[in-house]
Amino acid sequence: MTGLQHTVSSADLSSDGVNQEAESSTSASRQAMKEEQEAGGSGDMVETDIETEDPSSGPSSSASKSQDGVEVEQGEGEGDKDDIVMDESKPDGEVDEEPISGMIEEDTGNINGEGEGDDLDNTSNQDGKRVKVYELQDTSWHDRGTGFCKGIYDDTQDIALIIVEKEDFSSDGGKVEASGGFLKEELLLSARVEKEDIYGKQQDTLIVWTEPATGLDMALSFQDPEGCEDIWQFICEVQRHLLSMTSEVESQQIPSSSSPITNSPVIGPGALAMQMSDSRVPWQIPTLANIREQEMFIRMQAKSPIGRERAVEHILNEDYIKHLITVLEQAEDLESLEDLHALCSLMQTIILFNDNGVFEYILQDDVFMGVMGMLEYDPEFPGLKASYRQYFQETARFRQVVEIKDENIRNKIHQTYRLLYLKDVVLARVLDDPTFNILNGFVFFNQVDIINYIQQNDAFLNQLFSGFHDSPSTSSPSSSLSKAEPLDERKRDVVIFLHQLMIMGKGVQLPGRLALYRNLVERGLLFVCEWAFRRSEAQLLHAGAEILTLAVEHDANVVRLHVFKEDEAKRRTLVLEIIHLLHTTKNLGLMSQMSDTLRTLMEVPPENEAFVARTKEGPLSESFSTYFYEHCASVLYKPLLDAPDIKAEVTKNKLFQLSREHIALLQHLIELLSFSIINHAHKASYFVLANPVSKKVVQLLYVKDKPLRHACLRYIRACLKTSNHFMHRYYVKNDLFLPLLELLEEESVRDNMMSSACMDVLELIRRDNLKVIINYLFETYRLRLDKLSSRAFLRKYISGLRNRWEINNEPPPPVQQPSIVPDTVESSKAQAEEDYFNGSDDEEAEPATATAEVPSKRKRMFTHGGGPKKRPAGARKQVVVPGNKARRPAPESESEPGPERPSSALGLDYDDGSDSDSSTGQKSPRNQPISSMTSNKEEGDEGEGEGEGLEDVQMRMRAKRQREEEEEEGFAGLLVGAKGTPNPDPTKEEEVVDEGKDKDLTKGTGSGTGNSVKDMGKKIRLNLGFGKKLGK
Amino acid sequence: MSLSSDLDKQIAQLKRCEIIPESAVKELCQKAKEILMEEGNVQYVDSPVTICGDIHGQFFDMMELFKIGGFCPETNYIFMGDFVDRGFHSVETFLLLLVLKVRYPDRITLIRGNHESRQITQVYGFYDECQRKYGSSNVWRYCCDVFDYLSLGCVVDGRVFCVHGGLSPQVTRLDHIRVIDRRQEVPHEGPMCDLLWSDPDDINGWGMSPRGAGFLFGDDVVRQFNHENDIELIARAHQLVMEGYKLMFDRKIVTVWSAPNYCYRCGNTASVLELDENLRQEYKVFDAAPQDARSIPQKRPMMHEYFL
Repeated sequence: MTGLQHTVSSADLSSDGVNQEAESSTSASRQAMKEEQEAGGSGDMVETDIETEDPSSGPSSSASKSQDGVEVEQGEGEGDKDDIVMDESKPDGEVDEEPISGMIEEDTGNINGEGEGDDLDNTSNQDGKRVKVYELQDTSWHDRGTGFCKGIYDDTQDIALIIVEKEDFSSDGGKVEASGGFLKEELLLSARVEKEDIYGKQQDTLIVWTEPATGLDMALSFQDPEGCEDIWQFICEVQRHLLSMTSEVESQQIPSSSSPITNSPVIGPGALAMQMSDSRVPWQIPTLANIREQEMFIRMQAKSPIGRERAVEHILNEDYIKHLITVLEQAEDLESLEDLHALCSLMQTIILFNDNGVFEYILQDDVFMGVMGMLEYDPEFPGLKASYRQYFQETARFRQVVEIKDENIRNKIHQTYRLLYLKDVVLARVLDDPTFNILNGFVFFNQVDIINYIQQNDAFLNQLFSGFHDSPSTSSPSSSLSKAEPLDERKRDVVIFLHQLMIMGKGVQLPGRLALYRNLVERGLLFVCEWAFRRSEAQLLHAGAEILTLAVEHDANVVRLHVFKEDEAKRRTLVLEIIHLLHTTKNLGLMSQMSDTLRTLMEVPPENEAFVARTKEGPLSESFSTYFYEHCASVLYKPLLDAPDIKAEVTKNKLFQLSREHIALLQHLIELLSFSIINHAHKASYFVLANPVSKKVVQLLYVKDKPLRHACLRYIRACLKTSNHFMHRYYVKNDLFLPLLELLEEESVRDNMMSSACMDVLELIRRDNLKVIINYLFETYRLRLDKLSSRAFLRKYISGLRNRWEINNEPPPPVQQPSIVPDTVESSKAQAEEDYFNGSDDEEAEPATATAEVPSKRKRMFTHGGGPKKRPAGARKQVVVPGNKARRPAPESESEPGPERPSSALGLDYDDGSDSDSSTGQKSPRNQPISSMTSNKEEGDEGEGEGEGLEDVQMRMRAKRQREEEEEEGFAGLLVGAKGTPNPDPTKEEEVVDEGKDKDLTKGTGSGTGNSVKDMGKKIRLNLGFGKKLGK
Repeated sequence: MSLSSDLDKQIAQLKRCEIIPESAVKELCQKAKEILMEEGNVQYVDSPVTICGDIHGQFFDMMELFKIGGFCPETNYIFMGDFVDRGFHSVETFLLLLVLKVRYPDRITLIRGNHESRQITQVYGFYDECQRKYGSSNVWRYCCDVFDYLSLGCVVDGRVFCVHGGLSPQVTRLDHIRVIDRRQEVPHEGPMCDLLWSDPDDINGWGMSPRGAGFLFGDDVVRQFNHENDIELIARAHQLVMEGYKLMFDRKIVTVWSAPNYCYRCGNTASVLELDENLRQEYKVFDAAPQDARSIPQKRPMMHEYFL
């Protein structure tokens, strides 16, 4: 029985509400996923907050419930099927009219009353269609019963009804109602046909609607599609009729009374009734009188796609919105708040139709203000009125710094501004995803056009940049360059214009954006920044800084080239301007922005990054840093070199304090320098060694300001982390450790950030086995260290260090072959590797007691030879033994090479081997090569065993990230943060190393014991390839 | 230097969802940094305390949260990160929490979420919101500075471990977290990253995270971690759960989500987890603030002068 098979797809039935909700939440999540993937694309992290796995909750669950409800009730109606064809295709007669919709009327009362009319003999057929009547109760469809449905029409009253007679009574035939005396009980349904488009037909056999009077959701489920279609046609016919009639009526009424509700329309001569008008929907020209009905009506239209389509068509064809504007004026004159609220909702509904045509219409000059006006009266905030029009009329100003001659473009500029205002201000709260997207789409295409226009307009650009190129009297590079000069309004406008253009550029796709920025830089954008930096106006400084930030982040090379050109021209360079601003500004935000910019400019891309090759950034960044250290470093770091000796100052004056800005500046400089030490080890180290900057920084450990102290500590760590032995010796020679020790004494009692950072430094010294330093510390400060080691947090670290010290200074055993580790190191590299793998299994098999934090349990073990370090160029991988298991009988392969150790590519290999290993004067064993080799080898082996799972996962993730980075043209890579990617944060690496160290130890000692390490992964479940980054 | 009365004034102002001036933000952040510096990477907290998940700038919904949970300092709070992004009021939300932190340092604990990051906030709204509301990126910079100081997790009575995302293969013992020098942008990998990015999942061991950072971790991992650290429950946030909270793995881990109707459209409920003196868990569920409780979003329009 197909007739009743309509599996009333609950979602369909159960009113748009539920359905839309479900949809929107999924679309929201989809959207969120999309966004996030986009962001993640460039190697950013992808965030997918939204848990999609749980469909049992939320809207969908109610939907599925109601579905069940319906289906259960489905079966019964089948069986006898009277195939009756209702012949109401011509509504000759029985259409009736409820004069003006939206009125609360009593359905049945009406029927009873009107039923008295004698015209009902027009009933087009006797039997009606067999149908089930449902109403929605809560979330499930309630079956009212089965009966026969027909449409009836009262000509005189202009009222059409859909009635359903109970099956049992159907035998009485069609006359029952004709008498007007039919009993209410006999009717399962009697609903007036509304002219609003509230009816929906689904799946051929279903008609659903919401009774406007009661708000009840109703559904008629027909036994067969024909019956359904017939009734559907009836409804359509009636609506058409009603519409034509009401529009007649309305048009006669036009200069309406202010009374909002005209309930009793003057129905024209009956003849009119049947006239079919062109418009298929009951539109009226909006007036003050009907505005609220119109509002409701349009909201109804919005429920179905067809309704929306028709509505849009009408709105555009009939200048509907202009009529609304007229109504707005009237309503404002009358201060009729209710009407204004209705207008606002109506306008919002129209906007949310989400139609291109409508938006274009709205954005027209003569319409836009009116629309803004309507939107000012948001019924959700009845007490408030927004002032959008006022904003446009009084505040917003369009300015042209160079005339844009193309009118079309000018229009687009206005349009874009309006769109953004709509999106960000007016509609911010009501926008749904599709509308948001369509607005963005408009904005996007406009912006592309505008940008293209400007970019291709030579004359325009030349005029724009004129006046900025001339060097600002090179002779006086001092602060008071142009600050004293009166503000050149045109130049000011150019800065703001360019700022806006740059921001607009952010919206277009990467290639376009890059082209734009490059073009602007080549034409002199940075001269404009320089000019702005010499001004004192906050607006200009911020705009200039923002322009520069965008330029640098997108293409540091263009900016570097600009600097070179300036330098060649003997002009004061951008870098010096930046430094000057950094030094002088009191605006901490600006200061940090300048420092970030410098850092980006100084970044050296890692060698193996794919994009480097493309942009040839490598060499350029290299020559930039040469320029920087030759010409700028001493200027930049001067405040650091001039920093007061805090300890001395404080003894002089207990209240001595640096100003906030001074502290911030010092902190930025120290952080920049730490960054440089890690990133261009050679040049920065040279600078550090040639200037007493470290002394200054170390003394700053005595300042009160903890963030600054923390920065100093970081600086020390950066210095120690270089494999530069001159640096280490420098620290020793100048006794730079005393302040550090005192900091330790002061801070390490608590569990806080500083003490964590202190531990980190101690751990670094131990891990990298900085022998000179270890020796120095224990020779000079042994007692103090011993004392410190009684502190809970420090115990592990200090005893770890002491262990190192003892081992380092222990005379080598007479026989160089400790029992556990046979001599392997001197064998070939490959041999060593193999031995290692053979060897470490033993250890791995041992139960673990030593964790990363318990170095003291380790014993000294010699492994021999090793010779000069041969750090393989490839990725080093270190394995983590997190929770740790392996007791290491002989774990101390000393001097794991700092994984950070820069290769000697710079031409200076400070690791002469003299310090870290042979401070005792003896040729102490080294096994750096082992660990590097083995770790290398490990990479291959890690794929085995259980542990590989994770390893794999990490590899894949990294691979994925890289792929995304490449594919998605580094979307986020262009953002500030991505700076971290090419130059991984030093601290992070340290952590990595930290975790890796155990493994290193394990590896080192393992060499030679003849067992396989193949299943290392099994024992060390969590061996991650943390070394990878290091290997880059 | 703002005295507590100044702070109280700022609290009152921010509770009305009004921003405080840039100079006040600068001061506030400075103070907050000093306080946060004194906290460990894992902060130890006493019960009773109320644990909250993601807020995401849904200021008025956070006020609902305070309505059902009690305001600070009457109730002690732990907020597990993701204060900002997505919602309309990231600035007000974060600043209110921060000023509460400064005013009542022992009453409220803020830990870092993956959205407390320069990179992420530039994509998901906080950056733009700061630009819009203050006209420059300064406030964003001050706030990001503070983000670097936030703790990475906390432990209640030694028994309940709170963290934004989840576990890390490199952190099998809570001690391992202590040696992280946390003052840095959230890295792309490593323990600090994992703590902020990982998710529990019905798998064994560790799995690749679809997010591209952090890991998925299974029942066994949680069991092992809890056992080894003598932890009863891991409370974390980071994932939307329609019911507001979701216990997993034999109640050994729970996701708490405190942003009702997430993004103003997901239709979910939100919850907070109240732990009493005996660490008994009570989940209080709440819904989004009613429309009329919200003010018109304070969107200061773009530039008054437009050239383009």
